[in-house]
Amino acid sequence: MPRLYLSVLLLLVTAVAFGKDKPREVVVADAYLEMHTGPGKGYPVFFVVGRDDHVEVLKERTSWYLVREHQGREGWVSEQQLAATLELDGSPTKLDIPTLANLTTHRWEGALMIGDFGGASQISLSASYGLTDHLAVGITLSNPLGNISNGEFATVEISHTMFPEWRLSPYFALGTGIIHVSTHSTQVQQVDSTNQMSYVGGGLRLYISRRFMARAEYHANYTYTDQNQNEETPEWKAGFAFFF
Amino acid sequence: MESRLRLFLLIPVVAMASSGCALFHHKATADSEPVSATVVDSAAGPTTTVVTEPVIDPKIERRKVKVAKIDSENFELGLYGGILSIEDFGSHSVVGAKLAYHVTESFFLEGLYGYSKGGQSSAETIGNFQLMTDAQRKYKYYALSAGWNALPGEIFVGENRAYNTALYLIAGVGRTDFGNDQRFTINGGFGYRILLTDWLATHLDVRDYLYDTDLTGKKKVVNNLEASLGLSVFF
Repeated sequence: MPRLYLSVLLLLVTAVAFGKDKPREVVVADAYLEMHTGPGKGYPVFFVVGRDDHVEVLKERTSWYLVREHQGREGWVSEQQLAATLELDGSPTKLDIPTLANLTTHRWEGALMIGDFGGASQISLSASYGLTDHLAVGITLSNPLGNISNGEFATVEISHTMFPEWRLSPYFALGTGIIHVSTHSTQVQQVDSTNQMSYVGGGLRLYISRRFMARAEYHANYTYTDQNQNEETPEWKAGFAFFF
Repeated sequence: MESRLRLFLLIPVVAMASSGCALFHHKATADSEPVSATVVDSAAGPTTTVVTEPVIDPKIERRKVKVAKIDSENFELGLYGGILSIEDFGSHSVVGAKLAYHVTESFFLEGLYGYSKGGQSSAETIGNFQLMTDAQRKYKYYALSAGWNALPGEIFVGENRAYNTALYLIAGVGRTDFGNDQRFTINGGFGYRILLTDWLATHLDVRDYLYDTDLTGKKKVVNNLEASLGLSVFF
């Protein structure tokens, strides 16, 4: 097993080390461009590139860019300063900075939420794909863990975001899936069942910055059991989401 | 005889060549026709003729500059190994894998999956009984956490080497599978990341995993402490 891990890691290392294009080149237009030792405000400035000098942009990490100046020094430049440089044709450097405007046109979204499912603590992961600015289809994997029983459920849903261009927008969702519930091994009465379920829900999405959002959601879940009555379970959750 | 044959062959060649030239000539004039016509028209004066096309054609083809995409490296994938102290069941080696997404320079989200195996509790050893089977002693856990790079910095090795580092605080939720039971688990801790290169990092992590359990008879909160070393790559 450790050998497998090692080979996977080696494969990753080689994949990262190779497969690079010729880096993008930009021209410094401001009086200077500050190169930090690391990708963050806390790392000190160790070199300054002057106006009209060319730098190669090697990579991006969060809002910092690793650049190489003509003598081969490499350092990290803030997004703000790099955005003030020029492309080789003289136009302002175009950087792929996600904004609120990208929120309406994005297609993929991932979310990580925690909450409560009928009294049990719950963790859920979801991914969705936007069909239009308003409509999206997605899948969610949830894991409620309680004192008496645990559950796992996978659902598919269709959701409608009412005002996708707003910073704060409500949305509605309809979904269906499969739920598996089992009691703890220490419980006297053992239950281990798999049933179909469906839900109707709604929530709020708040754009924070870049590709980052906060989400809060409520679902009314219906589990179709072989008992006389279907089970109704309220569920609420909140967490972070990001789009690509 | 020979010269006559040569002449016979030469005629079609010349004919083809001249017709070819004519063809090219015609094409060349056809292409330049509007331009010359315009020039003539403009030279004749605006009072006599109407200029149908502008002197300068504004349709200049834009110079296309191919802009290379900047490689973004916000994900970090790594493996780790260390020691996990499973309350009541001894300390044992642990291995796991981690995937992190760096949201900003200060914050990141991390998901991990780890594996270990618990030993015998003191009660089992003294009382000479088995609380659970060998298979049930497998300890598996996952955790989804948020981290904060609280103290970014550098370490210096000798005169010419400096490595970027960050001391981070991390906390999150997850699940622990142990003793045929699954429990909601809260985790918290800190870690130290040393970047060996721009894309390769080593981690030293200390984490506490807390959950409720009644495996040993009475319900209680257990604290499982873990210390690990890891290696990760940014991509």
